[in-house]
Amino acid sequence: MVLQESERELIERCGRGDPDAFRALFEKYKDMVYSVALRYSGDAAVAQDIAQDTFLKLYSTIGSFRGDANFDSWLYRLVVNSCFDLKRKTRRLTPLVDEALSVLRTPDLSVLDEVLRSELSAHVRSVVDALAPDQRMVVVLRYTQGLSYDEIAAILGCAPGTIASRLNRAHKILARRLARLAGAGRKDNSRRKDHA
Amino acid sequence: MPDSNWLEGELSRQLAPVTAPQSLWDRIEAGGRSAHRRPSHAWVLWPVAAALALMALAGVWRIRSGTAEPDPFREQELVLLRTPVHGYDAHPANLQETRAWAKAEANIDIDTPSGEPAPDKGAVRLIGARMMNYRGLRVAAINYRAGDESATLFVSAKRAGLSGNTEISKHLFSQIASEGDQRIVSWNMRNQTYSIAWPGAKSSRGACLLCHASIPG
Repeated sequence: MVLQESERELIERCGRGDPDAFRALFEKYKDMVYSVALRYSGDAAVAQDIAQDTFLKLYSTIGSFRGDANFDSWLYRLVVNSCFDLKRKTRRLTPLVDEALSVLRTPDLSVLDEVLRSELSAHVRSVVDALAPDQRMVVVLRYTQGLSYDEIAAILGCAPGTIASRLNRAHKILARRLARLAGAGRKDNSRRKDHA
Repeated sequence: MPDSNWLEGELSRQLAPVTAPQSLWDRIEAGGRSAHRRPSHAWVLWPVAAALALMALAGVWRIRSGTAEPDPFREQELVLLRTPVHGYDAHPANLQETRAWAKAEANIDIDTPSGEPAPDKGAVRLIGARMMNYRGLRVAAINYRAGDESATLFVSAKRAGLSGNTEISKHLFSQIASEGDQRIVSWNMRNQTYSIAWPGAKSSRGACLLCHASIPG
């Protein structure tokens, strides 16, 4: 991908230490960085730590970014490395409480439906969280960011075949661990369609 | 086993992108200090100790190889250095005289914002300035009062390899810290480290009025 002139200029200004340019880059990429961090870590507080670390690294190392390279890939590498660096320290508790509260606040679906949906979400996420870090990262880049195998391979520095293999293994693990929920999930989806 | 369509659909739904919280920028602006520190456990102490030992070894190696990144100022030491024990080396009447003194004494440039009106002379009262040796580095310390607040600006001599260094007068705080009742902000600009220390947490940005015409937003 060729950098647009305005973004190239922003990057150059940021490399010279211009805080306004840094802020502009932050605004442009904050959701992408935070999404990867959150989906990888499964914990909002850890995700903020990862995002903070990523942007501070960006600010201090952007001078080394080569203008002819892909900035998105470079930034993805920063956030991926921050994810791998920051080990998860606590289990996610607050989001589960939030989910439980959101069930009580939802007036248009039955509580049972919402509990089922909430349980499904929690299980899918916990199964993803239990994947090995390299498999989990491939899953996040694929399903959170919608990246192609080639793009993921460029970010992680390996062959597209390796990415396909990791994703395939992750799919098998997820399918096996989610088998019990798949039926309930499909039933839940059809209930929601009926309700709509 | 669930079919692949169900699995891929569910993964896309559960792992969908999210919007970053508004507080993220504040955390980044505040520097590398996490707002979400968690309690440590005794069992993690030994790897931490091992990591520190490795870092110390790496530091020695880097110093020996001449590529060491300069240490930032240490908060506790800056607090101790705030109060002059033996009086001041100079009593400049204004910022211009202070800049000339620092340049003449140790070739230290105290950069002021470009494109901004000059600071209001009545907003800040200079108390005195000292030149110190801080861990082998020449540092100018300027004591002043802004309203009811007393503050000290520390400016180091030039040194290479500073992280987050900026070449323009606009700067981003690379470090914000508290030490006892003292607050300290630091940043690197034109290969020099700047730090401002002041007591108390309220109305802290008044300390910026030494160089800025108004308190930055």
